[in-house]
Amino acid sequence: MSDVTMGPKEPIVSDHFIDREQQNEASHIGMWLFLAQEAMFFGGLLCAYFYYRFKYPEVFVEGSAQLNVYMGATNTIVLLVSSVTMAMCVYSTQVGKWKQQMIYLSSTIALGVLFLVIKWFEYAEKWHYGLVPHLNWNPHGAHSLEDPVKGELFFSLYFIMSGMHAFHMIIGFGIAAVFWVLCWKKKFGPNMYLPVEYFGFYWHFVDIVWVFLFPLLYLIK
Amino acid sequence: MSENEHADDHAGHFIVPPKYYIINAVVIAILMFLTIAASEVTFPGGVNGVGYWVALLIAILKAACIVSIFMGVKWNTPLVKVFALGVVGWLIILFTFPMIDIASAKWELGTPYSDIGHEGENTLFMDDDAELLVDAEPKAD
Repeated sequence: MSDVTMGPKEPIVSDHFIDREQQNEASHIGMWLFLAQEAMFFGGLLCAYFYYRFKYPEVFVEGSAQLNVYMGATNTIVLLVSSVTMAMCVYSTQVGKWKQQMIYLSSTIALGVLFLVIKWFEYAEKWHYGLVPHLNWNPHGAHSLEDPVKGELFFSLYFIMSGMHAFHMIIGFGIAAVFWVLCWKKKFGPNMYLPVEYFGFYWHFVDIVWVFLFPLLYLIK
Repeated sequence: MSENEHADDHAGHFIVPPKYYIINAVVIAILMFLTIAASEVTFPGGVNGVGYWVALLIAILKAACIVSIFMGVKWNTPLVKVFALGVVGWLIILFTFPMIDIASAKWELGTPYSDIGHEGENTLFMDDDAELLVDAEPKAD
């Protein structure tokens, strides 16, 4: 049963658009342009990764072997499930089901927190073994590396790439918190669902970035 | 049964039925396990050989599933599809030039970390006759 009190009673169309369809298309294009610059940002990091991986393949194999594949795989599943709950949140908003909307948005936030908690333990493990470049670098510790200098290069890339990904997730939490309050107040509904859909786009994009980071960082053999 | 019979339509905006999300998630999960399984297989070509390209191909397939179903591009207007595909186009340009560079340049020396064990041989500090330009050496303060 849809909740007719969710969001505005009538669709809001700005003066400079002919109709709602044109407004939706224009805002979709705007969102994709935003995602394009985000993709270029991570693309630059991937370029650096590809360059050094081709240059020092043996270093990347050795560095990757120090990463915890189980934690990486668990995080992949966590992000995948959070993508499903986010998509379901958008669907619930579109069809006007407030209770489901709140449950799915809360689940998405909870799964995002779980991802970062796992990441925290992973980073703590690297710190413990002295594998954090510049801050705590001890390649001759428990996990000794063949070539410490080039090994530092791999871990620099690992922390920059996974760190920027985690930073994007933290930004996502900020947005999600605002959306949670707005959803609680029933500001979004069948006549106003695009903001929720675009937050979903952002969340899915963060998932896509991890889809590439997982095999490229954790599964080099 | 056509796709449009499955769903409601809001001002020309297709509302994706939840079963599509579930099926898509299962497909992505299968691809994830395939990625892990493929990493255990010894492919020809070493680290950057066939195995590397297999991992990248699976990642691209997973990304395509997320973009087309979760982000709903499959049901968007042709213009939005052009912009979504435009992202891929920009990334291809971004990756192509460094890849050409990697494939063509012989930068054994002159790049970061590359002169370890070859101090004084860095080609960045040499003239055309491979003579070391002393003045160009960074000063140690």
